[in-house]
Amino acid sequence: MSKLAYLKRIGLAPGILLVLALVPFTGLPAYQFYVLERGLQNVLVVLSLVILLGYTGQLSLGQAGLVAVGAYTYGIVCVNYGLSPWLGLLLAPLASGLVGLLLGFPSFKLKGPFLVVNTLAFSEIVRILILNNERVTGGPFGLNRIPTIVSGRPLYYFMLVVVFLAAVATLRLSRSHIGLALKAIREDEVAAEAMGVHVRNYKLLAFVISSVLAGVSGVFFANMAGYLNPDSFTVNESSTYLLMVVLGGMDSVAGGILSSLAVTSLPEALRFMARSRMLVYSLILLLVLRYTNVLNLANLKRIMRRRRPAPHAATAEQDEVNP
Amino acid sequence: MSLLAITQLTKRFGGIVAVSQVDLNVESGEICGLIGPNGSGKTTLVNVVTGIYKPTAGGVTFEGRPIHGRTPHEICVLGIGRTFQNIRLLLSLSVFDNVRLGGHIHTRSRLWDVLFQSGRFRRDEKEVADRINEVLDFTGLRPYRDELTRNLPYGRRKVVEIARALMAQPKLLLLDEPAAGLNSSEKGNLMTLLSRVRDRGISILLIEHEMAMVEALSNRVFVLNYGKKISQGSFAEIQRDAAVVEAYLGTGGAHA
Repeated sequence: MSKLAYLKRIGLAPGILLVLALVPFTGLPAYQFYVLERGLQNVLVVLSLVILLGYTGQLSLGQAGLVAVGAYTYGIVCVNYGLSPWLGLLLAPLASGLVGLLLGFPSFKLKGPFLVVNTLAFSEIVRILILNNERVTGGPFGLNRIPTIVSGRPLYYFMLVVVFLAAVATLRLSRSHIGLALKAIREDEVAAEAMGVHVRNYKLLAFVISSVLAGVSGVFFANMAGYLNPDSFTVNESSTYLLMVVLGGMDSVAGGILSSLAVTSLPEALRFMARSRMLVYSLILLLVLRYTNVLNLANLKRIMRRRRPAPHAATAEQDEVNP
Repeated sequence: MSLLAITQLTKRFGGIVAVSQVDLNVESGEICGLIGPNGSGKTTLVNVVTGIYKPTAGGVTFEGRPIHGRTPHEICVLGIGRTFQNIRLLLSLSVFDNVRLGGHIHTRSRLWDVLFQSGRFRRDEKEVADRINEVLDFTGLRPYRDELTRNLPYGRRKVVEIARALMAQPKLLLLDEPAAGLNSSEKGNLMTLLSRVRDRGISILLIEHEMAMVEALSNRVFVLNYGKKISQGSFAEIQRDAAVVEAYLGTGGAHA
């Protein structure tokens, strides 16, 4: 019907990505454009966390390890075996998805901080394996001269299309009964199980989808950099991804997209401050987290939608009633 | 053949025997009361039947099939629904979504269907939405459809839990103290709702401390004390049973 209704149907997240399609026409300087590409690459990881953490409630600090698996699979396929980059693009998410499946198993027993430590350790193991298997991965010297799928502007648009599809897929997942089952696991595993949700399978599904997205992000990383080094996949990266998804409101796709672009470009925008840059960067993030929920579009929608005041919520005391 | 048959069921936690050699059966279309003082093993019994605990000894059959040792989601698929004593809803989601979760086992679309919005997915969605609306009408929750569950008062949350369980189209419903914490008008509404549920052919095993409700609804009543079944029969029968009176009021003591 109306344009507004049509926009609503598309959704905010794909809308943002459509706007990004116009950026190359604005004459953005090369470096800023590169930062934007990095932001786009990060969006995929943030989407992976929206599904894993935002929907399913499984906190992972191992996303960098999964990105590394994707990036190195692509690199090894293309450089060591000289195969087509397209094949690399296909195999990388396959490999990271498989690794993610294995990473998912401990989540059956481990909760909260224990799962976090587990994923963190996984990520470090991946990094150390890459570092020490010099003959395959180049070890500390890295993997050089990685061919690209496409380069220049076409790479940007290729990434944009993939991110667009990933965002639409995440949104569709969220609205479906599968998304609901994941959210039920986040809210109350016992209740989810009692309502017929196969909790273990759905947790694994979340880990696999999440890892596939992270793996594709790794392929993009390899394409943009043309060079891989284990130092690019540390816990530092994982915590930045976590920061992005939290800032974006955890389960909001649009919020996640905006916050990954913002958090990627913020340190670059502050470069003029030289040495105090990271200090100011951290301060800004702290203030944003403390005082606003700007990027949390899910919250913003909720606030705007609130028509009638909420009736009094039940108190915890009422739960205990003696006969 | 009973709908639900529990035979010589025992559940031990370390040295504590929570349920001891209990026999219990629920027939199609009846409401059975399960009463007993606090700590008598009622909730443990429900948790064994729904697969949260594995029994130490004894068995549970549903429609003649043994179900002990199965996982909770398998038991849900077989047709046993439940509510929880201390309400386990998805508080950050709407009433609609909470009830929708109950329909999870009846959705056939897979990840593929969801991502490509296949015909099967759209049919599923439509069917489920229709059924949710039907359940919301049946339970009187229609006006609160889009309300966040967090914002609902306690009594209404209990109804949402029942609606969620009904959405799975169970043959047997296990209700763990549905009236606890409700005011008298809410209790009245709940009794009407439960008798309408029974009229739909759904059997109910009702754990309740609210005796007026057990009396009004139950075809038969089972009484537990210290994990053992001490009596069973119609409400009038168990009311006269000396063992039941003793369990609830104690023996006379010194001045007997």
